[in-house]
Amino acid sequence: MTAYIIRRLLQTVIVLFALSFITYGLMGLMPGDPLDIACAANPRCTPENLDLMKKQLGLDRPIYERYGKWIFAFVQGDLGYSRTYRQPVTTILLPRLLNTMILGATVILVSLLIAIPIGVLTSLKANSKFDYIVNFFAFSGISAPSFWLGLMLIIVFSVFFKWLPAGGVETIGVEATQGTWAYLLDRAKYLVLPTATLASLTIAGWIRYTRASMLETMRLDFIRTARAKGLAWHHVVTRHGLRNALLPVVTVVALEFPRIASGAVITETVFSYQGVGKLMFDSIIGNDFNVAMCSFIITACMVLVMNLVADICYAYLDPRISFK
Amino acid sequence: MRSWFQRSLLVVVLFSLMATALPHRSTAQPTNKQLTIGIIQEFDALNILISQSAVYYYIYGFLGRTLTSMNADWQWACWLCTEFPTFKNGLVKIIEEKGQKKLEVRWQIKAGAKWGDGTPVTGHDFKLAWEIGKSPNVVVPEKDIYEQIERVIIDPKNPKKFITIYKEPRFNYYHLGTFYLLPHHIEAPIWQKTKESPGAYEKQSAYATQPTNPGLYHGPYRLTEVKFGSHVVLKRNPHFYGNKPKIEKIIFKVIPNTQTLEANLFSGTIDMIAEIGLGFDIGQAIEKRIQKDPKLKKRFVVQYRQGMIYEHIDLNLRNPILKDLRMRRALVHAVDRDKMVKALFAGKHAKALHTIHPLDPNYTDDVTTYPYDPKKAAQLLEEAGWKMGKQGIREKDGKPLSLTIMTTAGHKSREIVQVFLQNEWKKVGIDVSIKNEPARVFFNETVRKANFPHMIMYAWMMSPESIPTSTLRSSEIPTKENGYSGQNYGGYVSAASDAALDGVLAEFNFDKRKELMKIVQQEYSNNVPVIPLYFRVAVGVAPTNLRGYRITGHQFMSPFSSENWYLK
Amino acid sequence: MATSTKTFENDDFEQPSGHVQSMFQIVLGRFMEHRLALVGLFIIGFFCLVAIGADLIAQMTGLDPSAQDILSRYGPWSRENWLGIDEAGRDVFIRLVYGTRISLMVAFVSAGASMLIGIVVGTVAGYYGGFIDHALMRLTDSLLALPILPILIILAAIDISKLPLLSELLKGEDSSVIKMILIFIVFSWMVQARLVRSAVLAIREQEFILSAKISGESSFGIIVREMLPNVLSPVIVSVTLNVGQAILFEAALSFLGLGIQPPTPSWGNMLNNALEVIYNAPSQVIIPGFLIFLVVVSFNFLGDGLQDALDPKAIRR
Repeated sequence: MTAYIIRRLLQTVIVLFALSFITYGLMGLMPGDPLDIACAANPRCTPENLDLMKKQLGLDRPIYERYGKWIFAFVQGDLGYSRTYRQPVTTILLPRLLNTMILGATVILVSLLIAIPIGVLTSLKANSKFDYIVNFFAFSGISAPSFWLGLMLIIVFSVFFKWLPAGGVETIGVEATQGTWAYLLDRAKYLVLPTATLASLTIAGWIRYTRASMLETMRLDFIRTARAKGLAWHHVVTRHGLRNALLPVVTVVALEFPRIASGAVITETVFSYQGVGKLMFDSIIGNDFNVAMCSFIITACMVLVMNLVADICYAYLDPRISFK
Repeated sequence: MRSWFQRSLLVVVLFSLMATALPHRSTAQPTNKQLTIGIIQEFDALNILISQSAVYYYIYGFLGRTLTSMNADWQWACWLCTEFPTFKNGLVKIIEEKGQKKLEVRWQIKAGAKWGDGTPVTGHDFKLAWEIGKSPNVVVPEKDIYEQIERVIIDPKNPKKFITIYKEPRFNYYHLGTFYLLPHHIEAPIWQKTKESPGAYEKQSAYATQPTNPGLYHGPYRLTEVKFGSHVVLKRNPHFYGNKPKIEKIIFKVIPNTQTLEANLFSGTIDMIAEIGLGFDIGQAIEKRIQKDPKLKKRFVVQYRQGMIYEHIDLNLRNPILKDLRMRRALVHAVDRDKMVKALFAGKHAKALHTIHPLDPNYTDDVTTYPYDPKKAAQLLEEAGWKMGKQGIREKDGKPLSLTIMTTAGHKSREIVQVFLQNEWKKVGIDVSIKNEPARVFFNETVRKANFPHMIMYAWMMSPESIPTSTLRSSEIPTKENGYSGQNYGGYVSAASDAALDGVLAEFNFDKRKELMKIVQQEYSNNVPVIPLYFRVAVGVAPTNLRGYRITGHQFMSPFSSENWYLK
Repeated sequence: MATSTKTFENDDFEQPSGHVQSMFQIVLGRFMEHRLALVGLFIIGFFCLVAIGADLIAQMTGLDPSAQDILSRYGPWSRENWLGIDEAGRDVFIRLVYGTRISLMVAFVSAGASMLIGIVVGTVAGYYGGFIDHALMRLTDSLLALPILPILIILAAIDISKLPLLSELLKGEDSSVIKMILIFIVFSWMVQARLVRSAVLAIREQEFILSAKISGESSFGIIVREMLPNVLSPVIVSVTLNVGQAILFEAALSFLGLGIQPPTPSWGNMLNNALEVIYNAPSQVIIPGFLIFLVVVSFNFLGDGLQDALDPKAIRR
């Protein structure tokens, strides 16, 4: 088992290197630079000056040379400066990462707490009225474009009812004036709408997966055997059914991480939530290599580790899969 | 199972309870205590010399000043200087050194001008900015503004007095629009340490390492809190030399999505939207909404002011089809630009006659004009040999008259204009296809290298009294040989225009200068190297009780009079 | 396009020899029981007809998706312009009709192609195991680990038409449509591959596979005859989700300005274009949004119905 994990970790590191190279290369392939746009409208910003500016940013060097330089510094722990903000990458990245973690964790927690019980319930009462209603809402949840849903929530809860802020992370200056408790409450207030938007998607998906998987499992022979043995119904469901049914669900939950970490670009844009997804989007568009690569590696790392976790869970849940 | 379900239900209920229990947000009018301004673009570096974001130029209006500026009535005036230097008052002189003509200008900074920590603003601050700005190791968007000055001499007795020597005589010596001052007492030691290595200064600058240091700002406000990508907080600067600012605290909030920006405005999270980066369409949408809703009408007002952004289409004059002057004139005649401005932009944008703005002192309307006349267009096309073909497309030698127009993808106004143009040209038998590219591809590959088949649509940000040498002179045509230098992308050549442009810069007599600029404008209109479209209007949304706020329309934006803003 | 779901069923169920007919009948019968799925199929069929007959509709109504009357921008609903007029003075109804064509085409083509890739990769990896499994799963993981939207942003910025094979495909005003399809294909097969692989892994060591192996069936035969029918149900669920996802993805990309480029209409970019006037001409936001919602919901119901109908374990019982 330990050997397996170590081997997988090693593979993960290799995959990370390969990915970082490909992404750096792809970014380098993007023609032009934001400087072109900044300069394009200004007749006083001459093309010569533009070239000088690009040279100072090292953009005139070949891409492999720039990658080599970057990866060398990165491995030594030097993350460099953000080109856009002229600040160390960590100063820019860490608070954003924390924000995304908070959002992601809230979404996953809320989704799990809602999706799995409902998914199991609907499978047990398959084709009942309850099943139909849940099914209908679940389908509606996955079927609405997320930016559209976010905007609708803003219009309803911020513009009409004025209950919740329309966007942002926190009210500026709350912590300083009103203390920690008020600060936390304030943060929670800003989390409600983005969480609702992101969770509506995940909940709907997870209910479906749980239900489908549970239905499938409950038809299997060993469940019938268990019931025939005279085990209590709830025992059969939780010990035998759920444990097996969660197999595919685990994969899906693990695969949800990239969606929340990087795919939250849309939600973070709609709610102007200062997360890492939005930062990654902006830094790619802004040719801010240091920030883009760093946030990229963190997200990719998270995904690869989650995949590993999913595989290990698999092994734990399904003794038939052996490690070789 | 049941209990799981109940627990999750509980969470949902708690969530919704929390949502309903939250306090009602007030939508009262803002007061002098605080004004929250929404901005749609992000700001980058806080060092004004290095910053490349237009939004920060806007914010900097609260934080600092330049020597001279243009006021809301488009008049040049002193800001930090005590007296505007002219030949008349003897502060400007043409001198000769080693057989070369140069220009000497004497400046004096206002006695009361101080940095936020009480240190006086002096010529040393100017000199430091000049040294840093012209250094090849620092990235600055407009280098020429620093490089035009050969040296700076500070009066040893009174450091508030200093002399600048320009490398050559130029009438626009007072155009110091982006020449900002840097605090010598804070930045000089840092500059000494970093000036030898490229890119080092911008990272070590106090603006990057200690941005809330009050000594960095000398405007009516100083920066007290900053979170990149999110917000900045400004508070009154007690050491400001001018009127005491009336609003205590200004907050800028970045909201990069237009719909969210709108929602924030209506929900009262922000009080106004800055006129920088606000698209005309959004401004219009907000105004329509305000007009419909009396409650909102009481709270907000949408303001417009003619701006300097010149939307136009460069024609590729090297192309055999467009080489023909009749063809170019037909293209302009075929488009009803009045209708375009009226229908697409509610008549707010100003139809452009040529590259010079109507409010510019050098403007003339004594030029050839091309009113909407599809018959004339058809006639010109016939003369050029383009006969009407079967499917409503003109042909010559069996080839259909097919042109391509390119612009930046995702730019809404331009895309709508494109569709309009496409339809107008179709009516006279010209088939135009649209090919748009992402902005950075468009500007880097297509525009910069003049690598487009027929037409490109984009904008120039003009400034008052600007001389369009870099965009119109024949020596400025970018080619592979000259390393794609110059901004005359269409390949416009006019000897008369070239000669006039060469004479303008050293001409100190306004009337003679105007005469020369007239030639430039007439040549431009005769030769039609460009299809002029319109000058964009600047839009901002302000609370109805904000006074002293006025959109200027030029590069010195409304915050440059922010000390006079107040909320009634 | 309208018949794609049917051929799908035929292809996969002709293989098991002997009782083709009865099995198909069972499937059909079970499918008919799922009313919502039937409604979904009906709605999808309707939109497919609209997509195919777009030109006919344009002819019949005499409307042109690019004709412009800029003096009546944001015009209300009327006899001539059933659903009003958009921001450039064009008829909304006929643009929605053409938008249907584009949106459905992008979704169908990309989901179909990604399903094929997913099944092939997943079964091969799961069945053979060992090095092939490792290689394929690392590739899948790597692609899954790529933060998709940022990569899409980069891909949208790179001029992929410079690649030799694609230059012919990516010409003209519709190039953004083809680009979108290609990008979706590359980035949407991984989930299916993983699902198929885990399903294959789960049954690989079961008795009926072993007995097939012992009775000397070829690997290809085992994969196609024994494994495919058994892994299909999770794949179908996820592919129907994928069709919907592709439509949603296109809308999301349009939101970031990277989707299908105007003037080519799609539901996504029509919705996005109208967002600015969300308070003034709400119908222009609501209708494309509702169409997206309706079609995506239909696909999801259809998938649900198919799952119920195709479940091989249920049939064997």
